[in-house]
Amino acid sequence: MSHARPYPGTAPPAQPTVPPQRASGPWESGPQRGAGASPRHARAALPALTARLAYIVLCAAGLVILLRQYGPAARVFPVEAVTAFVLLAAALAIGAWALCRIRPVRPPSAGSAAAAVAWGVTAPVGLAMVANQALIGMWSKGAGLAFAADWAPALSAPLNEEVLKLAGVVLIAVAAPWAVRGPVDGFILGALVGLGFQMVENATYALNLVMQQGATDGLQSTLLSVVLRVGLTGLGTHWAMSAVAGTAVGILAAERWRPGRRRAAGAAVLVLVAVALHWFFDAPLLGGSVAGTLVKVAAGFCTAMVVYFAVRHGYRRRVRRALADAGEALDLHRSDALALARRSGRRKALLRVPLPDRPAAESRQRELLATAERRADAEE
Amino acid sequence: MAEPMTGGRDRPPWTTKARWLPLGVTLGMIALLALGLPLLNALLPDSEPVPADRSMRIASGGGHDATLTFDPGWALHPDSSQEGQNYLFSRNHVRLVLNTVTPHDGSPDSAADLWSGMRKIVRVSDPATRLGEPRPVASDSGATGLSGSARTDTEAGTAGVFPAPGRDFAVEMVVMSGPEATAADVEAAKRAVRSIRFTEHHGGAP
Repeated sequence: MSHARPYPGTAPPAQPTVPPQRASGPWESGPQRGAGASPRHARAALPALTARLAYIVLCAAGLVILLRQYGPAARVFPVEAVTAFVLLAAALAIGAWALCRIRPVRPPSAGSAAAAVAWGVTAPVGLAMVANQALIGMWSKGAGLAFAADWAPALSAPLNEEVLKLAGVVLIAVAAPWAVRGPVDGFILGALVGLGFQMVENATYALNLVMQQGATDGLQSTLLSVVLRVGLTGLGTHWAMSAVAGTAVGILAAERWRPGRRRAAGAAVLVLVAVALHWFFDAPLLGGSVAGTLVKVAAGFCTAMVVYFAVRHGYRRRVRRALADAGEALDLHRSDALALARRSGRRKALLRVPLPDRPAAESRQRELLATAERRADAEE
Repeated sequence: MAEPMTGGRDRPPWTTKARWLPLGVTLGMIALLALGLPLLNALLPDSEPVPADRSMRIASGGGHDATLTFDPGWALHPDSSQEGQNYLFSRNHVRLVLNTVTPHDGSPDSAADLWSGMRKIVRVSDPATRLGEPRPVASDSGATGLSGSARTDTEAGTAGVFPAPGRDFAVEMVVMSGPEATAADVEAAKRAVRSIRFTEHHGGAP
């Protein structure tokens, strides 16, 4: 028996031919790659290629709009802009790390996570500026400035921003089907999109506050804005709303975009819940007090957690079942097989393997997990 | 592209057509929001007349309202305005941009400090905007503040800042006009600026 194997026995279990494998890059590998010779495969790859192209064009468009809108303010207030950028980039890094960590069994691929964050910080931010400005303008013209001051944000941003953020998860799911294979992937990638959006929006709010406070002490305005937006409201806003909506994309992607009535309804409800949470946050309800704001933040956070634990529970259960079956086929003790579902369990298993054999053992662990996850996805 | 599965429930096979659907819906929604909404907004009139010779509340805070009074012929641009925060008014070729600023507790909030901040703020919308040296002014109602010249590459005008009596907020105004503006329009803008009045706040709609 080789020490390189964290499990005894012969070959790894036969891999079921189920949804495409995960790849490390956002657009890497996949069932179509390398098979593009035949016209049929070329046609099959066309939606993914179109999605990739749309992703790139829309990210670039969003970035250009963002720079046009806030570049002048950043040039006039460079210290404030750099301060906000550094603090929010750190918050983004920590948040993204935490969200990747909470994906059950394994983190998302670095490529898909990066693609989600990149979408969040560019396309929806810039495009939402255009859409919000137009819709709020229509409310102002049609219902008057007084009504618009109270209600236009709540009647504009939830629709525009939730749809534009969610679009990124859909594009990633079409461009790289192996990156979004079920609700868990949708939740995590949605949360990463929302987090990226949230941090750039926070930067724009910081510059807005500098000007709203008369630019008499810009640095203090910036710090105040960042602390409030990250520390007070950060836990329950965009990342949470997009995680809930992203779960819907995961459900639809798992059904190869042709869901039955029940799953389609479930996905629609999740998107509507995300929009409703956003509406509740922006609506002039609860008096705008700190306590009221905390209630709104708690609503977003708790809803995201309910969705997270629901999809996590089901996913872990399926992966553990698949690992138990694989372990049985390999004559591996059930508890050892189940331990592979957790990061700590995998680490402990590797520590029992002599150092020179660990890379090979780690590779075999990955294969076993990949097989178990594909089976879990197939049973979704 | 159908893929057999083992251990999973029956689900639809992968098809190219099924992947076009989410892509088409998504791109359609993006086009609707980012192109359709601005187009719809552009179809609506971009200005509305300002009631003449009637005070209009433009800011409030700390127990005070700030009001302006306009001559006939002024228009409000709702697209570029947010109640209580910022407004864009115009009268032919003259523009009056108004911003309410609320310095936070402990920050410098003298009129001179606010003028210094306004020098930067006006450069955000047009980097070529330069404010001259300010001098003390008083409005028709006796509100005190600072006023000075404003200039861009193509336009000239005046700027003013009027802190509210309790220093809870201040009203900043910039009037700009090109060479085609008439003396009557420029004078009407000066009268609008001089009409600023701070009154004790009694609540309710203006």
